[in-house]
Amino acid sequence: MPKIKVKKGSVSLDMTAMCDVAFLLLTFFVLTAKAKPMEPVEVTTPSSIVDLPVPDVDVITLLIDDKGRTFINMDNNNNSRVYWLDNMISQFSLKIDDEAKKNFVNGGPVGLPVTLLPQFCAAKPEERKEMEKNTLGIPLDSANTDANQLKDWMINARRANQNAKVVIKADSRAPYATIKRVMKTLQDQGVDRFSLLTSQASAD
Amino acid sequence: MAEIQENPQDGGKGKAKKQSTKVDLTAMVDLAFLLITFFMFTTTLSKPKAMQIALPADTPDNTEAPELSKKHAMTVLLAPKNVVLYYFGKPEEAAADPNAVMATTFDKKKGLRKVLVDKLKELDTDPDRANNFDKDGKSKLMVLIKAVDSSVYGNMVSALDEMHINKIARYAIIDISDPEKQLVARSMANVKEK
Repeated sequence: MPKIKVKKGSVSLDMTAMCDVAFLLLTFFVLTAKAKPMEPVEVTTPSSIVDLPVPDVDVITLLIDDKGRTFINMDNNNNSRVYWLDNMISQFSLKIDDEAKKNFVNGGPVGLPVTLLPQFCAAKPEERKEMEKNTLGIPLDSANTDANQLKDWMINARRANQNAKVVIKADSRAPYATIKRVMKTLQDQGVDRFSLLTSQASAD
Repeated sequence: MAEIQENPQDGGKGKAKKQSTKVDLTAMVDLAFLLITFFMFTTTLSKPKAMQIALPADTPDNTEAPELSKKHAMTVLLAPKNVVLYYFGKPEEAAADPNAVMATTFDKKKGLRKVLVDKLKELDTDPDRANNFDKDGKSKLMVLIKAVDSSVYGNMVSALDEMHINKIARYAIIDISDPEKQLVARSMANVKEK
């Protein structure tokens, strides 16, 4: 029987076009990339139809997770975080060394009782993560105004950066009781206008 | 100077070994896709959007709220479990009438949005229409949004969003009063029975 000859095709493909496409996409993503900001808690914001963009700088962000734990964050435009921390230190007479201060300035949101702040600033990154996981957020007792530390954080932040706008980034499952307390705190300081961070959705 | 010697004379034979110009790009493509994947996951493509809200300035001895015509007042109560309760007119009257407080949801077709659309239509077809709209053509409907503590933030944003969607210019977030808390409790019991 005559053998049927199977034509042996080359297994090597021309990768040039694929390579081109891959690098085109890569370039696109590299140019549009903006690293996700590090946040101690995962927050899923509710959606709305509004499309007002949030400014990148001069923003005080109040982060509220689904359990109602509150964190505060401010960007370091014009070294405002440095002044912010200095204001907090002088108000509560805390002792924080320069190395720890640098940690705070380069860090992200904080959500601890003020008494734990020196320990938090001096802690190593892993220890800080652990503290963030176990924290109950900034104490904001509405009945006792002395215990409302969010008020102090806010006052000092606004003193450090007078142009700062306030943005509330809360989880859609965050209890309304906490939101009410946060809004009351803002209102008490004369911050009547602020933004609620939402993800965009269409009306229907 | 820096010339590359092509055709190196190999023992004077003058025969150059012909090299293939094809380079295997597989590894390069692999690497490129790996990087693409990395950047795709770390990028936040859509910028977050924000909803502006303005609260009234806090004055402790706030005198009485501006007089509101009964026809133009609507109260939305955000109850737990994503239930939305609403009534028109004054709270005292709503408390007296067991059928005044109605329940709805955030459903996009037949929820709160339909209630608002119907109310606006009612104001529009009213014989006294001129009284229901100001000179800019905006309705005089005032929506008071009150949430109980056990409600969630997402519901408040949804309620505010409905105001935007229906272009209701006058709305306010107000603390819930005790009689209204009882109203919510009563209505929630009714909702459960159904």
